[in-house]
Amino acid sequence: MRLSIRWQLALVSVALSLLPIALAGILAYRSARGALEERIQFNLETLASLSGEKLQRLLLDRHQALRGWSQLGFLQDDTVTGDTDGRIQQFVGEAKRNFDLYQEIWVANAAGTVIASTRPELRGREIGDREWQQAARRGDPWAGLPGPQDLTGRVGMPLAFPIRASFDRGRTVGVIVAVLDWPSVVEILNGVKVVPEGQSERGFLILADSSGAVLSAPSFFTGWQPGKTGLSSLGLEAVQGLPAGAAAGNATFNVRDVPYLAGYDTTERQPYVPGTWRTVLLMRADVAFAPLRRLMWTIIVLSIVLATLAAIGSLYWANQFSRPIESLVPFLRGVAAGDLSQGFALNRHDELGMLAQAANDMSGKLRGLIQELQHAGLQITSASTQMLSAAEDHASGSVQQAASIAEVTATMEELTDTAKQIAQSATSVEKIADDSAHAAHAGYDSVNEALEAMEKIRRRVADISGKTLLLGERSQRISEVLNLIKEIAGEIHLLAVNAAIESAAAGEHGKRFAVVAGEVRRLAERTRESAEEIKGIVGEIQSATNTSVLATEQGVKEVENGVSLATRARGSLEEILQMVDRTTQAIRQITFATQQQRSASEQIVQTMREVAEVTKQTAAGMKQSASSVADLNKLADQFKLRIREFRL
Amino acid sequence: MASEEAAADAPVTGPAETLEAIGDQRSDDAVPVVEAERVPYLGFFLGGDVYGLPLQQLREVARLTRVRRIPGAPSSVAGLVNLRGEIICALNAHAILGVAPSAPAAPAFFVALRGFTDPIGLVVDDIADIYSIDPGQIEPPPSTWSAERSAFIVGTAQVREGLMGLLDLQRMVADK
Repeated sequence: MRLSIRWQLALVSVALSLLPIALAGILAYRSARGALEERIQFNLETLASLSGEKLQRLLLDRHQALRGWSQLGFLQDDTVTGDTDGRIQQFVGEAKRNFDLYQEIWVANAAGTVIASTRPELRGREIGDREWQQAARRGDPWAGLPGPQDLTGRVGMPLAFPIRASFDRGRTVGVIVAVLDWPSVVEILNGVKVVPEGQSERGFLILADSSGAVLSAPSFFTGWQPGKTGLSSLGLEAVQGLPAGAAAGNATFNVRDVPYLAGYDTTERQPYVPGTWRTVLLMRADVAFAPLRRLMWTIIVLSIVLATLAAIGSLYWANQFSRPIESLVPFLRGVAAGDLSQGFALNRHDELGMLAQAANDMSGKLRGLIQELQHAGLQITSASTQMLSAAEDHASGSVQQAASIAEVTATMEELTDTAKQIAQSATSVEKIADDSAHAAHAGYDSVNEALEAMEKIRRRVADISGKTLLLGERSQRISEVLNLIKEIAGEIHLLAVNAAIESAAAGEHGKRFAVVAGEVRRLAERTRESAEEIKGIVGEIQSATNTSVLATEQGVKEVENGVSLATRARGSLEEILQMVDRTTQAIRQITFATQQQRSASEQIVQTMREVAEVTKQTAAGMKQSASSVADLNKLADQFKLRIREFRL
Repeated sequence: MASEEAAADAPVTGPAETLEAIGDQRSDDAVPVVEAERVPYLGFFLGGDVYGLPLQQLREVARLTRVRRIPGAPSSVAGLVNLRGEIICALNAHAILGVAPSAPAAPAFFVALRGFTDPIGLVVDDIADIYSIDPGQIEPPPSTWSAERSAFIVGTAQVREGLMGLLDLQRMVADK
């Protein structure tokens, strides 16, 4: 891809501004780092030496204290007698309370038996022939390597000094042993700080004996035991490999893949120190060089700011030139394509302004020329087009007119025929309507007669019903009377019986009376039988009457149904009659209208035939003129197309 | 004629005597008049059966209106009846003949008897009719009838309502 002038300028100016500042920055950083490293190394070395001296001073101090205690008179005497009055015990307790750093203090006699101790349970314990006891017998002070103590179980550094008899200075009567609390000692040693300018981080002190066993290590190392763990097992092979004979020096090495700066020293040989010890002071390189990071960031930010400013400035300046040139390109392209409608304005008074003015003048001249041509062409084209379309319209119009006239004529003829048919149909419909009106009138009369007959029937039936009910009531009366007759007949019968009895009592004289009584009795009997018979007949009459009443009621209901049906039929017939009347009137109107229509249609047909003849002649003339105008129009169109290619 | 008078005056005590009297009449009169020989009987109903008593032994027939019961009397005595001011002892014919009593609400008749020192009567269900019985037609009760019933029957006669038992009034009253 080809870069535009604008971007080329921007890239060059950024590169020119970045290069010197980057070079200067790198050089400054390197020299600052060298100076700082040298100073820190020196500090580390000095502090390693000071730490060793501090430890030696501490041990010397304790050693001299022990020596002073061993020369106390009561200690010398009571050691021989075995501390019978407890003075040594009291002294040991006070000594531990008054001086720090002591873990244990005890006194043993020459036989190896503890006679006084800060831990009372050790009193009287046989401790055997220890290394410090051998040294005491020889009359030498003794110092042991710091390590876990079998008597206390804690990490401590034992110091021993022989006790000699006051009366016989040459003979050792016992030994006083003090165990220093090693973790407290290490804490004091680690209080050493490496403090160069602006640096507050602490260096880490490592203490090792001449064989390479670790005596003290920073707290981030775990799982080591003083005097037993080697430097190499903590990953500190580089420390072990430092030159042995050198009293002091410095080095740079990696511990567990982290770069460290280190300063080291070796302590001098002293009787109160077990061997020569090596002190090494370590410091992480990134911590040491932390102040340099600020310098580096300053350089980076400065270069970025400068590069950005250079880029912005160069882009602005480049734009001042390239923009006007870019805007001239589409203008010139438009002119080439025939577009003269645009103008080009550039408000500048330099070379670019002159170029723009010349291009504008050229476009203006061309535009005036083309405008005149275009105007003339357009006029010609529009005139010929109008003529052509008018001629075509005329031609097609007259053809359509002829066809329409023919259609109208045919349609009118059909219409006339149809009107005739309609007139005929209307006449026959009128007859049919008259017939149906007559029939409906007859039906209406019949229904009215039926209704009247129904009404009569209803009245008769009601009459019959009333009479039947009356008959029922009378029959009831008859049966009541019959009961009375029956009762009377019974009484007569009883009387006749008594008469017979009386006549029997009268004997021969009563015989004739007995005959009369018998007749009476028989009459009464017959009366009763007849009454019974009549009662049966009346009962039959009553049941027949009841049946008749029911039947009559049924009849009344049916007659009423018939009346309502007939009434509805009469209503329907009335409606039909009205409709038939209206239909007849409408048909008469239709017949009249149709006849008028027929005569009018016939006149129209005649006129249309004449019009059609004239139209045919007109159409032939129009076709000729239309073809001439079409030729003219083609020429005008060609001219117009050419002119249209310019846009003004 | 004397016997006839006697028969008329003296109370006819039973059918046996009646038969005797009839027999006498027959023997006396050479030409027996059939009509004259017939004896009128009152037929009445007791529990659906017809029983008869000769009219000569009867005094009156009436509708039974009210019977006043006598405390402590036997079941054969129905009670006392007031017949036009006269107090008559009414016998329970049902109980005497061992016929099932009729419904208490049904109409009943009272037959007053003639020829006893104390006025007595019978309570019956209904009066049938008066029958003139030819003594020759009288027959002994059928063997199918119970002994209790037959005990008060002197004979039977065929009438319209069935076989009429002719009662022995004296025995009935005596038995009471």
